[in-house]
Amino acid sequence: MSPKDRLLSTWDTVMLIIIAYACFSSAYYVAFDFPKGKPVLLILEHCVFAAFTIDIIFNLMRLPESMEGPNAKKDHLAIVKAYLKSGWLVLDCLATFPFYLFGEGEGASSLGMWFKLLRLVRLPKIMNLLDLARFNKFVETVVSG
Amino acid sequence: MKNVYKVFRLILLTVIITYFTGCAFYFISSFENDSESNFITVNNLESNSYTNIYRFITTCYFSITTLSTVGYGDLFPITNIEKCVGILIMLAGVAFFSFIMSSFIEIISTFNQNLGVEDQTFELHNWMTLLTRFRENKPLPNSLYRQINQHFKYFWSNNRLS
Repeated sequence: MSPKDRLLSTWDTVMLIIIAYACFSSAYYVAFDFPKGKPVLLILEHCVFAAFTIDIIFNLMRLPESMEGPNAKKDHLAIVKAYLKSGWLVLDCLATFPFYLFGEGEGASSLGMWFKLLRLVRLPKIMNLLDLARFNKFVETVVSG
Repeated sequence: MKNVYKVFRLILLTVIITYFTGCAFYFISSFENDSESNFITVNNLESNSYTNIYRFITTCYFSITTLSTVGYGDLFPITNIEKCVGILIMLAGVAFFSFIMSSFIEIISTFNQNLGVEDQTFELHNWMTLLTRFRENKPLPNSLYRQINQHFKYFWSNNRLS
């Protein structure tokens, strides 16, 4: 899929909000422990896990900008290779892996917390939400209906 | 509308930075909990009578007072690592707050400029509409209208007395 695909761009916008939530919540959970006896937060955590997994699958199909062009080939192997080479695949998988599901003991859950910190690597992406051009586009679509 | 969004963005940026420095500071100071007195124990944050929210608000309060170079001094770093992190926060705070201040000043000054010019052109257009009375309710010729407009625009932008 090309980055200009409609489905992909919609997903990217949704993902921005989810990343924002994940970054804020995991920073809180790492510093102050995960609040016990709050099922809603656990469900949200499951949702974030699902969204990150879907995002990895989308990324495996996304054509990188460097490979874009008039004669872009839909070579899935090349896309996966480029994704692997950039190092994001390993990082995404480690940050997504649900350690909290297995973390019954003390040590395991704290290990999961450390890997959760990897989500913060995506923090600069949140700044896209605050982009002025994006806001202008949003206003235009709202005004024109 | 754009200015409101710009101000909102600055506030949001401040909130985000405060949030993460607060969380990071608490994490670092809880990391070496084997030492006897540190930021958490001296401020009695680890006692069970306080909720996580209270601890969170206290550390965020500490981080914003340090970042904004206010520094009340009611909360302060104690161990070596805490002090080092505190130094880093202060250094970053100077850069960060000067950025926020300059952005605010820019927004306010451009806002004032726009408001002043708009106010005057509004009155000029009203006055030109009034002139139609002397032409039997026909509007001014377009060329004259444009010329008057141009003259006053030039006058306002180059008026040294105002």
